[in-house]
Amino acid sequence: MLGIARGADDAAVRAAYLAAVRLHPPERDADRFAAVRRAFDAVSTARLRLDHELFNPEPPTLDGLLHLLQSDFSPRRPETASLLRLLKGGQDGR
Amino acid sequence: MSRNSARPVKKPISVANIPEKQAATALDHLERGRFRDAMESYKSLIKIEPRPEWLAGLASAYAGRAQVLADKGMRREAIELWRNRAEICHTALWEGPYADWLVAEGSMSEVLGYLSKRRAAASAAPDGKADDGLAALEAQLAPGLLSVDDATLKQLPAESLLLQHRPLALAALAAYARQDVAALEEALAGISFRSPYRDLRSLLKAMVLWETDRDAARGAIDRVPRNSPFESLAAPLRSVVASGSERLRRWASLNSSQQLIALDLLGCPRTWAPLLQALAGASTDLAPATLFDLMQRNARVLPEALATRVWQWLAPWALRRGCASPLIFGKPSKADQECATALAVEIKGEWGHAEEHWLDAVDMLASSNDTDDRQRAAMVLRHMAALKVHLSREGILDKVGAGYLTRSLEFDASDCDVHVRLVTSWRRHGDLKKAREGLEAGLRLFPDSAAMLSEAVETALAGGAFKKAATTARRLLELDPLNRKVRTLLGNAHLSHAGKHIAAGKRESAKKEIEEARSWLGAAAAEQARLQLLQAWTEPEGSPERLRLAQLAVTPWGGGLAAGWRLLREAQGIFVRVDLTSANRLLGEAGIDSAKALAPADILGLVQVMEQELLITRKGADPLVPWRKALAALAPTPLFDAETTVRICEAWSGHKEHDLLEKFATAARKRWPDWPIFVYHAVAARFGKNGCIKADRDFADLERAEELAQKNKDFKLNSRIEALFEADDPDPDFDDLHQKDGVPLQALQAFRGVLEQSIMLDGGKAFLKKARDNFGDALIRQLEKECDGDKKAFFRRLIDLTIAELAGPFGQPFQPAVVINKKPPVKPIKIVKPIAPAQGQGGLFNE
Repeated sequence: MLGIARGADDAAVRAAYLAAVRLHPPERDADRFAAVRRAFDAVSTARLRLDHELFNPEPPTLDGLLHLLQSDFSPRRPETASLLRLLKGGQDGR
Repeated sequence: MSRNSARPVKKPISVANIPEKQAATALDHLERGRFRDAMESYKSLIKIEPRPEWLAGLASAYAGRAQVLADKGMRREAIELWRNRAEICHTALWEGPYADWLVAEGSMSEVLGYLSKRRAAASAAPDGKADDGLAALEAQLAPGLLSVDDATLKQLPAESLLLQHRPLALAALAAYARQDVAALEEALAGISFRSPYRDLRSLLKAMVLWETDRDAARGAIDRVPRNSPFESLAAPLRSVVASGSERLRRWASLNSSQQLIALDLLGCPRTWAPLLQALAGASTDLAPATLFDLMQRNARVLPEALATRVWQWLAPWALRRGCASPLIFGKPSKADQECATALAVEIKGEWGHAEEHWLDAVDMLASSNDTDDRQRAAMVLRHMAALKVHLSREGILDKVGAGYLTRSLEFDASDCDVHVRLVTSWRRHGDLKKAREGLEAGLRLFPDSAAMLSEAVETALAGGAFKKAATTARRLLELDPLNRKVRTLLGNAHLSHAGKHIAAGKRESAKKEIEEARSWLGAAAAEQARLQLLQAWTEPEGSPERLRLAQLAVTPWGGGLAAGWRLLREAQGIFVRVDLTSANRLLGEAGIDSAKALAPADILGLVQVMEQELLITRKGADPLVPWRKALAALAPTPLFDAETTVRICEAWSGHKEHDLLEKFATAARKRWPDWPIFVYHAVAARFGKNGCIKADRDFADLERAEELAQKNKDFKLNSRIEALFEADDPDPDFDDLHQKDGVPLQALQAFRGVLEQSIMLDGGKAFLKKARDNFGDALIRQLEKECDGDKKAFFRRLIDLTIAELAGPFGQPFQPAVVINKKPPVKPIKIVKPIAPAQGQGGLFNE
């Protein structure tokens, strides 16, 4: 839900929470915000994170799995050749 | 007879209707995206008559079909079809995606040739009218032009922006790829808003923003039009800025080159593409076990650490495939495997079995030198202590749970809450010595913890150490001046003390205690009223001050029935015997007339007070003694509606007023026969009086009420009825075996047979669970170790132990089994002391 990496500290969790709140503010997306808040409450401290890791009673979901898989990603830039090849393919990219 | 004569005569075809029907069919094909059928239909129609609307329809069908082919990568075929369209339908050749397909097919020269012709035609136009489509066509060529050779470029006029801004666009792309911020800014600054490369400028800015500010990147990419010539590059960025499964869905709709660019932008290894494709094909509400299977098939691309994390997360939800085959992907440690298995079993609701795995996990984690592992061990123990099976209905931790918490402190003593819970548990079990020891240890670590000091006050009060409680409370109030709980605790303790002095006739000591209580208690009306009432009773009987104080005390309680009930409850806690005469005298002092007729409002007032007050059971005490007859007489009168009557019954039930409850509930049953709650209350009242359900009719009624509660989905009532049945017959099977003068040998052997059969039926699961509840885990584990994996021997010894436990108290000699014990008798295990079953848990033979 918050897309935090393993080993993230309290500050990183808080930053991820604030970013998620910016994306789903309570006045616009109350349900999603409530989910974000629940997620933050579940992992806001190191002890809670450990607790969540050991005893998480929530069944896994596809969204959750995607977050887990993407948690350690850091963006990288494509090479110029790849970009040109893509652009040469025309508007539809083929 | 000739066969021809039998043929039905064909109806004459109406020539006027054919084209119209065919046109409708053609339009239908077109609307449904069946372009080939639409093309054939329109071609036939045009042969009849080249109507403009049919030509337009054919052109649309050609365009649709060409697009379908191009989408499949068959651009050459699409180009041919487009040319046919222009020839047959007389539409413009150089419109739509035609130029784009030519560029993609490497026919840039052809497009440029056309452009130069069109440019020349525009400049030669006599009216000097600008060609609007020319700029759009030029912009369409911009992406493809970035990759063409110099010879092709020569076809462009020197003043063309396509040519002039091309080096800047290439420089921007190169600067972006090598992360040269200054060069990128410089190149982008040269590309103006009129440039055919303007969308590339917005795109590159969005791609840079994506790395630092994702919200801003979303905004930037939204400003690039969807029909931009650079959409091939915009599409991957649009997919990565989406979140969750939407990102995956959009990514899966990209072509392979775009998918690779999107993976780069995300920072996802390109080798993960098959895994993401598999996930994209899955439904968003996939069952966890299916998710596990899906990952199992594709997890080989994941790094080991991540695969292990995924396994840890998914395995508890796929017990057989996950926990039973731990190395299927990832590399979980033994402790991780045990934790996952424990959680899986816990999710299934098999607490006893889960506890066994958790304890194994604790042993593994505790042997590790890693601080995190030791912390985990502590958390697992605390988790087990928080399981329902270790808590009584009142939330008191049982001894096994307290043992877990004590052990958890060996690994991590930094959680103040654990110390407090332990001390509370010992105090409430009456083990004040241990509670004090725990307090000392806790206060050494957390001298300024309000929770710990509050518990110290309660422990001191429980031990009757008022002075110590007061000293600790003062220390606590220095830290937490608004702690009302401690103030109330101490105030009430002083009032209780005052009550004892009043009962002993020591009025002066009682007054001192009341003054002490006054310093602790707040200004809340209820607390002050109690204080004034006790103060009244320190005054001589019949004195004006006693009457004044007593009347002052009951004023906040509202006078009447509710105030009288409260007053008598207090009095019965202090004075030895409060019969009807003395009750009336005390009520009279407070100005309450018990002879006054009761109104519905009086009963509702009493119900409200009873709902707030806790049950106090005192032998022989009856705070309703002056009103009992009047209340009973009100039961059959139709004063209240059904909901209010339920509330009244609940109040009687909560304070164990069985007589009144029976009368009200029985009367209510007659008025509202469809309400099962009144059946429950009526039977529960009789159960409360007699200690059992005596009448068969009550059984039958209660069973029907249970069915009705189930039908109404009233789970609370259902569980209450079940609890009543259970309370009526706690050991159904055991009763048959028990006899006053001991358990006969035959019965013991028959019971052994029953146990063996139950083990054969379910592999011993239910028996083991009950045995664990009864004897405790330590003993079961000791047995398992001694049997060294021999299940038969293990169960044989467990049965022996159970039979011995059953026979022991009645003095029957225990006979070794002859049914399955073919081996020589096993050596007796060392039983230090069987752990008693937890409060609220049944015995071994309950089922």
